[in-house]
Amino acid sequence: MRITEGTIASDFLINVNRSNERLLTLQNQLASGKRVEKVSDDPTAADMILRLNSALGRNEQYQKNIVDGQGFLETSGSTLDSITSLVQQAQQIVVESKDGPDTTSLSALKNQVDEIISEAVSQANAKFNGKFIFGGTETSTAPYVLTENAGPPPTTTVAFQGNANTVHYATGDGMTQQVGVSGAEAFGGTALFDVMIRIRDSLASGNVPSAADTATLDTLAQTVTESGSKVGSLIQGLDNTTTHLTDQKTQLQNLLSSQKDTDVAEATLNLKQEETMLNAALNVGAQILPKSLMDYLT
Amino acid sequence: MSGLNALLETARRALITQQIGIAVTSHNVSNASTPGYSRQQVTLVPTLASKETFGYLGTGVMAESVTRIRDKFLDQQVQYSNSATGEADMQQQILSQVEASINEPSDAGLSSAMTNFFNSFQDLSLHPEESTARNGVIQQGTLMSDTFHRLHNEISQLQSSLVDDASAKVTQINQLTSEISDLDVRITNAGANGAEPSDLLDQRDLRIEELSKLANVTVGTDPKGSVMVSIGNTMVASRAGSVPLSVVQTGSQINIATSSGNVPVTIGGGELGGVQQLANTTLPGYLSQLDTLAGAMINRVNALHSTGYGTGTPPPTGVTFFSGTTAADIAVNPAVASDPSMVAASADGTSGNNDIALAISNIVNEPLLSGNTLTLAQYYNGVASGVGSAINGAEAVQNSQQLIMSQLESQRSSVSGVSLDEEMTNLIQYQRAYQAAARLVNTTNEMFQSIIDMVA
Repeated sequence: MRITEGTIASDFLINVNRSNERLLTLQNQLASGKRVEKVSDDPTAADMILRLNSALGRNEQYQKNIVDGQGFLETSGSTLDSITSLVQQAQQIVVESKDGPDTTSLSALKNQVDEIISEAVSQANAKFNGKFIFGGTETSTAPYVLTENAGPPPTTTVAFQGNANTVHYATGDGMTQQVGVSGAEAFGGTALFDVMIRIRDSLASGNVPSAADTATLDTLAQTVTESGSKVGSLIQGLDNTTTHLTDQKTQLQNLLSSQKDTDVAEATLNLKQEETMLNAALNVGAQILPKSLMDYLT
Repeated sequence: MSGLNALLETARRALITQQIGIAVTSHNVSNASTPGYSRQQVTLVPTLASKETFGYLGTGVMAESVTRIRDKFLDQQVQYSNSATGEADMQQQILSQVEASINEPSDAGLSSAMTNFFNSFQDLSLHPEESTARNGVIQQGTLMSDTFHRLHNEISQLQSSLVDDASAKVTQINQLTSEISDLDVRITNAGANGAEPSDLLDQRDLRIEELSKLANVTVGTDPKGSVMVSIGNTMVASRAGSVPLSVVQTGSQINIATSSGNVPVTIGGGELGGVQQLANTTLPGYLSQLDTLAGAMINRVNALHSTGYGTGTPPPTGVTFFSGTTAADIAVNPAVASDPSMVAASADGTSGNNDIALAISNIVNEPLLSGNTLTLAQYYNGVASGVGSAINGAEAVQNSQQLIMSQLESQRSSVSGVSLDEEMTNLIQYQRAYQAAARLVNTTNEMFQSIIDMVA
């Protein structure tokens, strides 16, 4: 083959250009730390990165939801605990009333029950972050309203303004978990307060609380305790999901990094290699290009 | 006829012929780096011998012709490669702009806008009774709509700028075809006496090559050395003249037709072919994919949202969250944007119910597109990585054509290129031959002198 100056020069230029292009790519990858900066750098990896990014975004949102849910449930749990101890006090009073029933002591006990009722109602109207906890999905109006009629005879009623619905939070793709229990479930709507009012009324009229009311109070005390442990298991469920989400986040981040980030060692090695090759090409070019017959003619 | 006069005549012809050789060499050396130049070669032949009694006696040398060294087959391959490169260049250039608009993977792209939008509904699900979360939903909805608009506008603008590109390319084509037919006329006239006008041929070939970068061309030649250049099925340049083309714009579609007669011309490749494909197929494809995405988003969100309840007494219901139907006009329903209480989170009107907010945030997992096989995000990822793949495709063509071109160029340079070493060698050859011929004149002169001396 006949080789001309044009051939040598253009081949040399093409090779040096290509080498420079590869150098530039590697330098960019090293400088930015990113292997994929735009989709055309690696469309398959870019697709993966987009998926992983939105999965990470959702994961973070689920964890945020859970933190909120845990706060809600912990407040529910501690409120249920205080109501449980109030109910236990009421049970204690019922027992005491049966021990030594005399009008004075019954009246004192009646006052204690009064205290317990109003304290229990105010606990049942507890709020978390502006939301009433026990109103079901009626979260912006107080679920329990205590009405005292002066009488005579004086009467007390408690009304339930909430509903039996439960609130769920999203805690995973297509997955929700229950957050909170309604007063309809935990206190049997108004049953707990009704029975305590009946007991108070009995005490007020100087009677020992009836056996039926005592039994109902015991059953409802059980219900409140059960709701407390249900809240506990809901918190447990959220904790488990958090563990899962944290693990998943780590995995997603690792995957994302493997798709997105430059392998610094590999890129540096390639960069060095490319630099050596470019130097060699330039060196050879410098020696070959100017040589022609004219160098030797006088 | 022999004799001293004949000797002198032979020497004179030799001097002239070697001079021609030196002239051709110097022309070659001068044009060593002229684009499109083919090296020229002088063909030397012995002059007619004279018949003597003892046989034929040579009478010296003459230059028969000066021809260019050129491989027509290589020219065709270069033209083809040029068209493919031109098309790929154009695609790479425009699609890179689409890629810049899409701006993925980043926090500013549509992908994260959609994720944020659906996440904002989860924020709402935590606090359905509050207006803060409602404002968050409206804000994210607006941001996502803006991203849709930006993408749509940028791609549309790119599409309309292609009309200007097409006009510029057509102007270039018309200029080139007119030059080609002018040159062709001059070549046929100059060639009438049988000599080859090498430099004019080089000029014409160079123009055809430039033309092949703009559109795919087929070149036919007739026995007189005249060319017929066609784009698609339309002959655009020949000895008879050139046929100017013009851009016919129908909506956003770009078509090419002859200026007179308006005959449609099919452009199969080259930069103009690339522009046409981008404007007529590729970019409208991306726009319609964006519209499909926005449409599915609007329909599904609205379908769920309108069954839900906002806050208030009575809580508003039957409200759509988005207005519009496409990527160009998607927007948060103005009624909702101006009154956050219209945002529906509740499925039953109670303030703490978050079922609608949850259902809307769960759209992210619903396969809504491509025959209910792809989620919105998957569909969009497909569009984005599709742009990347198309750029990669164009770059692959660029790279392979660059390789092919460099091979063709080096083959062509091997055939037609000027080798300075060779020219220098030729120069020495011609120079030495010239010196020898001069010596011949000298010798003959001395011989004449001897005769004159004998007479005197």
